[in-house]
Amino acid sequence: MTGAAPATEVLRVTTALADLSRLYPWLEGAAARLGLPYPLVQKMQVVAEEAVMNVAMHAYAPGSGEAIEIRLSAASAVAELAVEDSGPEFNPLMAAEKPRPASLVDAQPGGLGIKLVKRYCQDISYTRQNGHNLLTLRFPFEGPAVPA
Amino acid sequence: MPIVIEDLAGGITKVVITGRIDIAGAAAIDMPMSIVGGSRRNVVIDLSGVDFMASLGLRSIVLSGKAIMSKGGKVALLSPQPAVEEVITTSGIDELIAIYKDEAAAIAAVSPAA
Repeated sequence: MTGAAPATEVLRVTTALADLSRLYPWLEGAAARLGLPYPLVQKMQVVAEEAVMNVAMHAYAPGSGEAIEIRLSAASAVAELAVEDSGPEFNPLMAAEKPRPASLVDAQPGGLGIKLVKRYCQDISYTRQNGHNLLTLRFPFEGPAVPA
Repeated sequence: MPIVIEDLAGGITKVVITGRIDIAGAAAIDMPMSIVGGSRRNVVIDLSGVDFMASLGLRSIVLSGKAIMSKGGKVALLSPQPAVEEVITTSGIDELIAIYKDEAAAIAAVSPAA
Protein backbone atom coordinates (compact mmCIF):
# COMPACT_ATOMS: atom_id res chain seq x y z
CA MET A 1 0.00 0.00 0.00
CA THR A 2 1.29 3.43 -0.88
CA GLY A 3 -0.99 5.39 1.40
CA ALA A 4 -2.88 6.80 -1.56
CA ALA A 5 -6.60 7.36 -1.13
CA PRO A 6 -8.54 4.15 -1.81
CA ALA A 7 -10.42 3.84 -5.09
CA THR A 8 -14.04 4.89 -4.82
CA GLU A 9 -16.94 3.61 -6.91
CA VAL A 10 -19.85 6.04 -7.33
CA LEU A 11 -23.51 5.63 -8.33
CA ARG A 12 -26.08 8.40 -8.63
CA VAL A 13 -29.76 7.46 -8.75
CA THR A 14 -33.09 9.25 -8.52
CA THR A 15 -35.97 7.85 -6.50
CA ALA A 16 -37.71 6.43 -9.59
CA LEU A 17 -38.26 2.69 -9.08
CA ALA A 18 -36.33 1.66 -12.19
CA ASP A 19 -33.44 3.90 -11.18
CA LEU A 20 -33.35 2.65 -7.57
CA SER A 21 -33.16 -0.92 -8.87
CA ARG A 22 -29.76 -0.13 -10.42
CA LEU A 23 -28.42 -0.17 -6.87
CA TYR A 24 -28.04 -3.95 -6.64
CA PRO A 25 -26.13 -4.74 -9.88
CA TRP A 26 -23.98 -1.65 -9.36
CA LEU A 27 -23.05 -2.74 -5.85
CA GLU A 28 -22.25 -6.26 -7.06
CA GLY A 29 -19.98 -4.93 -9.82
CA ALA A 30 -18.34 -2.25 -7.68
CA ALA A 31 -17.67 -4.70 -4.84
CA ALA A 32 -16.14 -7.20 -7.28
CA ARG A 33 -13.83 -4.49 -8.70
CA LEU A 34 -12.76 -3.63 -5.14
CA GLY A 35 -12.12 -7.30 -4.36
CA LEU A 36 -14.82 -7.67 -1.71
CA PRO A 37 -16.11 -11.18 -0.91
CA TYR A 38 -19.60 -12.13 -2.16
CA PRO A 39 -21.19 -12.87 1.25
CA LEU A 40 -20.33 -9.29 2.23
CA VAL A 41 -21.93 -8.00 -0.98
CA GLN A 42 -25.23 -9.64 -0.01
CA LYS A 43 -25.11 -7.93 3.41
CA MET A 44 -24.20 -4.63 1.80
CA GLN A 45 -27.18 -4.93 -0.55
CA VAL A 46 -29.49 -5.43 2.45
CA VAL A 47 -28.03 -2.36 4.18
CA ALA A 48 -27.86 -0.22 1.01
CA GLU A 49 -31.52 -0.95 0.21
CA GLU A 50 -32.53 0.28 3.64
CA ALA A 51 -30.36 3.42 3.47
CA VAL A 52 -31.51 4.38 -0.01
CA MET A 53 -35.18 3.65 0.68
CA ASN A 54 -34.95 5.83 3.79
CA VAL A 55 -33.95 8.72 1.55
CA ALA A 56 -36.57 7.84 -1.06
CA MET A 57 -39.33 7.68 1.55
CA HIS A 58 -38.30 10.45 3.97
CA ALA A 59 -36.11 13.00 2.22
CA TYR A 60 -37.42 13.53 -1.28
CA ALA A 61 -40.91 14.18 -2.62
CA PRO A 62 -42.09 11.36 -4.92
CA GLY A 63 -40.83 11.85 -8.45
CA SER A 64 -38.70 14.83 -7.41
CA GLY A 65 -35.86 13.73 -9.67
CA GLU A 66 -33.31 14.65 -7.01
CA ALA A 67 -30.28 12.42 -6.80
CA ILE A 68 -28.95 10.09 -4.14
CA GLU A 69 -25.21 9.48 -4.38
CA ILE A 70 -23.84 6.14 -3.19
CA ARG A 71 -20.10 5.63 -2.86
CA LEU A 72 -18.21 2.43 -2.10
CA SER A 73 -14.56 2.18 -1.13
CA ALA A 74 -12.44 -0.42 0.64
CA ALA A 75 -9.17 -0.32 2.55
CA SER A 76 -7.51 -2.21 5.40
CA ALA A 77 -10.18 -4.90 5.70
CA VAL A 78 -12.98 -2.33 6.03
CA ALA A 79 -15.45 -1.53 3.26
CA GLU A 80 -17.17 1.83 3.47
CA LEU A 81 -20.53 2.62 1.92
CA ALA A 82 -21.58 6.28 1.93
CA VAL A 83 -25.09 7.45 1.08
CA GLU A 84 -25.55 11.18 0.50
CA ASP A 85 -28.67 13.20 -0.30
CA SER A 86 -29.66 16.85 -0.37
CA GLY A 87 -33.04 16.43 1.34
CA PRO A 88 -34.12 17.92 4.68
CA GLU A 89 -32.07 16.89 7.71
CA PHE A 90 -32.88 13.28 8.58
CA ASN A 91 -30.80 11.06 10.82
CA PRO A 92 -32.02 7.46 10.50
CA LEU A 93 -29.96 6.50 13.57
CA MET A 94 -32.26 8.63 15.71
CA ALA A 95 -35.13 6.29 14.89
CA ALA A 96 -35.09 4.18 18.03
CA GLU A 97 -34.93 0.44 17.58
CA LYS A 98 -38.30 -0.93 18.61
CA PRO A 99 -38.48 -3.56 21.36
CA ARG A 100 -39.13 -7.07 20.14
CA PRO A 101 -42.93 -7.57 20.01
CA ALA A 102 -44.55 -10.39 21.96
CA SER A 103 -46.40 -11.63 18.89
CA LEU A 104 -46.69 -10.98 15.20
CA VAL A 105 -50.02 -9.23 15.79
CA ASP A 106 -48.12 -6.62 17.85
CA ALA A 107 -45.27 -6.32 15.35
CA GLN A 108 -44.54 -2.96 13.72
CA PRO A 109 -42.71 -3.60 10.46
CA GLY A 110 -41.19 -0.12 10.40
CA GLY A 111 -38.22 -0.96 12.64
CA LEU A 112 -36.96 -3.99 10.74
CA GLY A 113 -34.51 -2.24 8.47
CA ILE A 114 -32.59 -0.24 11.05
CA LYS A 115 -32.15 -3.41 13.10
CA LEU A 116 -30.55 -5.15 10.12
CA VAL A 117 -28.34 -2.14 9.42
CA LYS A 118 -27.07 -2.03 13.00
CA ARG A 119 -26.36 -5.77 13.08
CA TYR A 120 -24.64 -5.97 9.69
CA CYS A 121 -22.39 -2.91 10.01
CA GLN A 122 -19.28 -2.53 12.14
CA ASP A 123 -20.13 1.10 12.71
CA ILE A 124 -22.45 3.73 11.33
CA SER A 125 -22.19 7.49 11.39
CA TYR A 126 -24.45 10.31 10.31
CA THR A 127 -23.42 13.89 9.59
CA ARG A 128 -25.21 16.90 8.19
CA GLN A 129 -22.85 18.99 6.10
CA ASN A 130 -23.29 21.64 3.41
CA GLY A 131 -27.03 21.03 3.35
CA HIS A 132 -26.56 17.30 2.71
CA ASN A 133 -27.28 14.20 4.77
CA LEU A 134 -24.31 11.83 4.79
CA LEU A 135 -24.72 8.34 6.17
CA THR A 136 -21.49 6.32 6.36
CA LEU A 137 -21.70 2.57 6.91
CA ARG A 138 -18.60 0.48 7.56
CA PHE A 139 -18.30 -3.29 7.14
CA PRO A 140 -15.41 -5.47 8.24
CA PHE A 141 -14.26 -8.16 5.83
CA GLU A 142 -11.53 -10.78 5.74
CA GLY A 143 -8.69 -10.57 3.26
CA PRO A 144 -7.14 -7.57 1.53
CA ALA A 145 -9.09 -5.58 -1.00
CA VAL A 146 -7.68 -5.87 -4.50
CA PRO A 147 -5.75 -2.65 -5.22
CA ALA A 148 -7.33 -0.67 -8.02
CA MET B 1 -44.28 -13.24 -11.64
CA PRO B 2 -42.28 -13.68 -8.41
CA ILE B 3 -45.28 -15.02 -6.48
CA VAL B 4 -47.72 -17.89 -7.01
CA ILE B 5 -50.62 -18.62 -4.66
CA GLU B 6 -51.76 -22.25 -4.52
CA ASP B 7 -54.80 -23.38 -2.56
CA LEU B 8 -54.16 -26.92 -1.30
CA ALA B 9 -56.46 -29.48 0.29
CA GLY B 10 -57.49 -28.99 3.89
CA GLY B 11 -57.81 -25.20 3.70
CA ILE B 12 -54.06 -24.67 3.38
CA THR B 13 -52.64 -21.98 1.12
CA LYS B 14 -49.10 -22.26 -0.19
CA VAL B 15 -47.50 -19.03 -1.34
CA VAL B 16 -44.40 -19.62 -3.47
CA ILE B 17 -42.14 -16.57 -3.79
CA THR B 18 -39.17 -16.70 -6.15
CA GLY B 19 -36.28 -14.58 -7.42
CA ARG B 20 -34.88 -11.37 -6.02
CA ILE B 21 -37.22 -9.68 -3.57
CA ASP B 22 -35.43 -6.34 -3.83
CA ILE B 23 -37.10 -2.94 -4.29
CA ALA B 24 -38.82 -4.02 -7.52
CA GLY B 25 -39.52 -7.55 -6.23
CA ALA B 26 -41.07 -6.22 -3.02
CA ALA B 27 -43.30 -3.90 -5.05
CA ALA B 28 -44.43 -6.92 -7.11
CA ILE B 29 -45.32 -9.10 -4.10
CA ASP B 30 -46.90 -6.36 -1.93
CA MET B 31 -50.38 -6.53 -3.45
CA PRO B 32 -50.61 -10.34 -3.74
CA MET B 33 -49.31 -10.70 -0.15
CA SER B 34 -51.88 -8.18 1.01
CA ILE B 35 -54.62 -10.26 -0.67
CA VAL B 36 -53.29 -13.42 1.01
CA GLY B 37 -53.29 -11.61 4.36
CA GLY B 38 -56.86 -10.50 3.90
CA SER B 39 -58.35 -13.71 2.50
CA ARG B 40 -56.43 -16.76 3.80
CA ARG B 41 -56.00 -18.21 7.29
CA ASN B 42 -53.63 -21.17 7.01
CA VAL B 43 -50.59 -20.17 5.02
CA VAL B 44 -47.17 -21.64 4.21
CA ILE B 45 -44.82 -19.16 2.54
CA ASP B 46 -42.25 -21.06 0.49
CA LEU B 47 -39.04 -18.99 0.29
CA SER B 48 -36.77 -21.69 -1.15
CA GLY B 49 -36.58 -19.92 -4.52
CA VAL B 50 -35.80 -16.47 -3.11
CA ASP B 51 -32.20 -15.42 -3.88
CA PHE B 52 -32.29 -12.08 -2.07
CA MET B 53 -34.57 -10.39 0.41
CA ALA B 54 -34.06 -7.36 2.67
CA SER B 55 -36.34 -5.27 4.85
CA LEU B 56 -38.83 -4.31 2.12
CA GLY B 57 -39.62 -7.94 1.30
CA LEU B 58 -39.65 -8.88 4.97
CA ARG B 59 -42.08 -6.03 5.63
CA SER B 60 -44.50 -7.44 3.05
CA ILE B 61 -44.37 -10.88 4.71
CA VAL B 62 -44.77 -9.42 8.22
CA LEU B 63 -47.80 -7.32 7.22
CA SER B 64 -49.45 -10.31 5.57
CA GLY B 65 -48.62 -12.60 8.51
CA LYS B 66 -49.94 -10.04 10.94
CA ALA B 67 -53.27 -9.86 9.08
CA ILE B 68 -53.51 -13.69 9.04
CA MET B 69 -52.72 -14.08 12.75
CA SER B 70 -54.95 -11.20 13.83
CA LYS B 71 -57.97 -13.19 12.65
CA GLY B 72 -56.84 -16.39 14.34
CA GLY B 73 -54.96 -17.87 11.39
CA LYS B 74 -51.52 -19.49 11.20
CA VAL B 75 -48.50 -18.83 9.03
CA ALA B 76 -45.13 -20.56 8.54
CA LEU B 77 -42.03 -19.89 6.46
CA LEU B 78 -40.51 -22.70 4.42
CA SER B 79 -36.85 -23.29 3.54
CA PRO B 80 -35.26 -19.86 3.06
CA GLN B 81 -31.77 -19.88 1.54
CA PRO B 82 -28.97 -19.12 4.07
CA ALA B 83 -28.57 -15.38 3.30
CA VAL B 84 -32.34 -14.86 3.40
CA GLU B 85 -32.65 -16.90 6.59
CA GLU B 86 -29.97 -14.70 8.15
CA VAL B 87 -32.04 -11.59 7.34
CA ILE B 88 -35.09 -13.22 8.94
CA THR B 89 -33.26 -14.35 12.10
CA THR B 90 -31.23 -11.14 12.46
CA SER B 91 -34.43 -9.11 12.43
CA GLY B 92 -35.99 -11.50 14.98
CA ILE B 93 -38.96 -12.34 12.73
CA ASP B 94 -38.25 -16.08 13.11
CA GLU B 95 -39.46 -15.76 16.71
CA LEU B 96 -42.81 -14.52 15.43
CA ILE B 97 -43.19 -16.68 12.31
CA ALA B 98 -41.57 -20.12 12.59
CA ILE B 99 -39.20 -21.36 9.89
CA TYR B 100 -39.53 -24.98 8.73
CA LYS B 101 -37.14 -26.91 6.49
CA ASP B 102 -39.70 -29.57 5.64
CA GLU B 103 -42.88 -28.84 3.70
CA ALA B 104 -44.97 -31.51 5.41
CA ALA B 105 -44.00 -30.11 8.83
CA ALA B 106 -44.83 -26.56 7.72
CA ILE B 107 -48.23 -27.66 6.40
CA ALA B 108 -48.93 -29.59 9.61
CA ALA B 109 -47.99 -26.53 11.68
CA VAL B 110 -50.48 -24.24 9.94
CA SER B 111 -53.29 -26.74 9.39
CA PRO B 112 -56.63 -25.79 10.96
CA ALA B 113 -56.63 -28.96 13.08
CA ALA B 114 -53.13 -28.38 14.57
